[in-house]
Amino acid sequence: MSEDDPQALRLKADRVLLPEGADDAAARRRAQYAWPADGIDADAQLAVEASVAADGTMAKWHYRARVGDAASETRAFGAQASLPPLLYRHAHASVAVDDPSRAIPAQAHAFARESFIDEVAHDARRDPVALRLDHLDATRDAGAREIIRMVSERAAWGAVPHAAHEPASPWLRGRGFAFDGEARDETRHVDTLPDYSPKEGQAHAGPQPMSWSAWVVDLDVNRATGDIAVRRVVAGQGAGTPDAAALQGLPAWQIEEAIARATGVRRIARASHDETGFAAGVDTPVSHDLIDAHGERESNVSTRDATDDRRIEQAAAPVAAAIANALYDATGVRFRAPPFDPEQIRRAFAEAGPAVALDAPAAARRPSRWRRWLAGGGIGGVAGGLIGLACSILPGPSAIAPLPAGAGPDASMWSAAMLERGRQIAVAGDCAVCHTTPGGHVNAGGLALETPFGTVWSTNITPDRETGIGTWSYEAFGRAMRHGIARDGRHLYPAFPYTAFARMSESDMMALYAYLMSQPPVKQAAPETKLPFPMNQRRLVAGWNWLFHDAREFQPDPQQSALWNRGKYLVDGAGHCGACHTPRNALGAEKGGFAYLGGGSAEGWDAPALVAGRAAPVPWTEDALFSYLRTGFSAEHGVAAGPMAPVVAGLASLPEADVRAISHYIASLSPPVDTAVAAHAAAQRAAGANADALTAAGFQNGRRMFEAACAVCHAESGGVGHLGVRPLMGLNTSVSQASPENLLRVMMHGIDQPATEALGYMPGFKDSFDDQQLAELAGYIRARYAPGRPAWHDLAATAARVREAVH
Amino acid sequence: MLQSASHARPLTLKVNGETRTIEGATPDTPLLYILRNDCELNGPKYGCGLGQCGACTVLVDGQPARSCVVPVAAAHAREVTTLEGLGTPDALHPVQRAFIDEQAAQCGYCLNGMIMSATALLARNPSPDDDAIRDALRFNLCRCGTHLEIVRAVKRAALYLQQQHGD
Repeated sequence: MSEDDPQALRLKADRVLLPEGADDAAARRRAQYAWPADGIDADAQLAVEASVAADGTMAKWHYRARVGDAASETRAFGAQASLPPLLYRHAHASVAVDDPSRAIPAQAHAFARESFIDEVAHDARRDPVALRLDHLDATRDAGAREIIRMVSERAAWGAVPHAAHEPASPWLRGRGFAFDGEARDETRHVDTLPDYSPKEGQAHAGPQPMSWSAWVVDLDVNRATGDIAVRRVVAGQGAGTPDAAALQGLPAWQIEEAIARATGVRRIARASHDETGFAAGVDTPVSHDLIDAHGERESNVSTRDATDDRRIEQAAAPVAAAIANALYDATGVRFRAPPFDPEQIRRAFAEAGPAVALDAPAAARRPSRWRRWLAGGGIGGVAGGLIGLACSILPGPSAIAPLPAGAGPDASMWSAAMLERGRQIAVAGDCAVCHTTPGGHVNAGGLALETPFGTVWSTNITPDRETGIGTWSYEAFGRAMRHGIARDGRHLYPAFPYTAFARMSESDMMALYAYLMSQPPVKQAAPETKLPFPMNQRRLVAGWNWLFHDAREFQPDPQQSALWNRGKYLVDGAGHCGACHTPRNALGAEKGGFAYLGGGSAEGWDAPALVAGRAAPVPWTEDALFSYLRTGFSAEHGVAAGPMAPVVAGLASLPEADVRAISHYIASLSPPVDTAVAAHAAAQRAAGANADALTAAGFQNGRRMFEAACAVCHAESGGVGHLGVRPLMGLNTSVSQASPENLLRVMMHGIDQPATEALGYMPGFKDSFDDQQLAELAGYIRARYAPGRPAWHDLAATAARVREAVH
Repeated sequence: MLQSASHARPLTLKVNGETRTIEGATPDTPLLYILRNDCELNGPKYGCGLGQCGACTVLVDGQPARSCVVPVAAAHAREVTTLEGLGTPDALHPVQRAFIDEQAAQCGYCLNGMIMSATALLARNPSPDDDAIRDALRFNLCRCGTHLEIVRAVKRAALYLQQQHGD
């Protein structure tokens, strides 16, 4: 590292590289970067100069690299043996490297190139990723474009920014992007320059195999101490020819090492909580969370070889540029040389003066109007003690402009990977379960949801412009999902679980938006929800939100494993498990604290507690949960039925690792269960109480009915087996629950739409047994198979009620 | 799974090795109706219609199924075997031959279920004793009272099958 202050470097005058008079309307920009040279105590000096049009595009681009300050003759373009790849296409480009001792590492060139294009983009107020795409050919650089697209989508690049730190906090948040690429055939890389001429005719014989990597770095930087904490890295690498590429993540150790080299701080990288299907140990996720190392884990340095070192070095180039770009985003200060350690950062801030961060690009785009409005509503509510009044006086949320006709998004805007992620999120979130009527078009709405406050009709969420969400921008969609406010500014009722969806990560939200907007539009107006007064005053929901809604995104718990965090994220976010499994208060809000996942209700069904289930005859193990969620059946607990059936049907199409993560998290909420103990309890309970004793106690009718109607599928033994599973009543949660509702519902209506095909069907008995018979049968099942639990009362009346209820 | 019951799309079934397309039936139609009415396979009988007597038993992927309570949708992409699929009058299945040899029928209405269930049992347990046979056929109802002959027929069927495998 040079003694030179990196900030000073940009002030150094240097020779003008551009030919005079060559650029007309375009402005010139030049910047100089530095990178430690290999093997000698000097810095590589890297100068970039370009003619920049108003839109940021660079027709002419010139690059010079040399070692040390000694001005020596540069060699002509193309004459040097080790030339860096240009990557981007310009009408005119020249590269000159004066490095006879080959002391300039390849990463240095990438750092300069990626920093420079970021500077140009900010000057032109262009999105830095979009500007890069302007300089990549749609056909010949299709692979590079695809890698950039997939990684930036994965990071929700360009989405509405997250909540900022408190204004008084010394921590500033920023995000940076960088891209790199090289020829895979290294001999060709040294000898020939890849074809980056803008002209079609100069192409090589065939597309040259390339590998690319794209990085998005999210970091926090402390403006007082200069400390830097990389929070998240979204990094993907792809290989292929320029017209075909496949995206891969990077192993955690490469990320850790690259970040450590660039910042001097070692942090542990692990799969992000919104990394689909990766939690269970696949080691190359695209999105990594970085957490404090606490010195608890040793990197596997000993097993690394020269290839690994080379990989880290390759990664280090885009990492350094991405960090420098993120630092600029956070603070408005440009860093043109590594390392980014606290001392350098502090010094740069001191030089930039008190303006640091006040006019940073990131600071300029927040906070949102909504947040300010929410703050106002909150204060008004407290002061007045009349939240509803405050809400009706304060201005409500505004409408977000509809997307103009023809400007609506379509599938071609997103990568296939993004749409697949979105599909999985839609499945995990069970969108179609509430937004589809039986036999109706998927997601076209119109399903009646019975709530204690009246009937709420689900809406059309297909991209139809008139009756669906076809005019919704991403901003409007995100606001609805996180704050429960429709595009036109109306409050949505919390029957729509935005209280859970608010936990979703920005990139998941964007993927979901992409998926929904790429589905076929269906013109179908859903019935209007008309709740009685006062619930018809939708503005009151603002007060409800103030009381009960926490719009914060999910924050992973670094003390817990990646698997646990993934599970909690799915349970509390898209999966919205608590919507049914957490009890609600009188105002219909989920209770917190000990009530979390403590058992609720859904569509007339009891949703059992997911925490230390008192109702379950046998304690749930993680494996039993997994089997239940994945297949719809756990031999020790029973079958998923009622509203849980479509949930399981959806989970069956998710990556297995995600279902494993949910099971792991749910199991962690209860005391650990020994598998052998659970198996022993199951064996003991399966047979139930002595049937002959029950006959003597007056259950003979129930017993006879059970033997005739139920035993063929539900007896512990006997028969030749049958298609589907064999749920035993002694282990069935619905038999040991406090309320007979679930059991009566299944007895009467059967299971005509099993969660998975393997489960088999159950006929309903509502037309063969009357209420009294059902009561006797249920009473016998309870006495026989849930011995020790109090008998159910008023079974005939409950049966009559269930018979009337909408199935 | 979870498909709508309101659309009567053509259904494709594989019955006794033959692929059949059924028009005009909703997916929740009992499999038995389709087999008897559309496929004209009258081996499976309509008994109680509640899945309790076993007269309608067929094999779905080798597993016994009470076709009066199994919707036709459940047989999608699976192999359905009815009594007709076991053997023909000229070439009887060993279980069928054993039931005839033991004269196990009185009215014969339950025999479809007895034979199909016995076939499933013998596939799982090639030499069951009396208790195992009784336990397996516990939920197949016979009103005439040929239980002793039925048990004997199953044992004879086991013998025939062993001989067949021995050949």
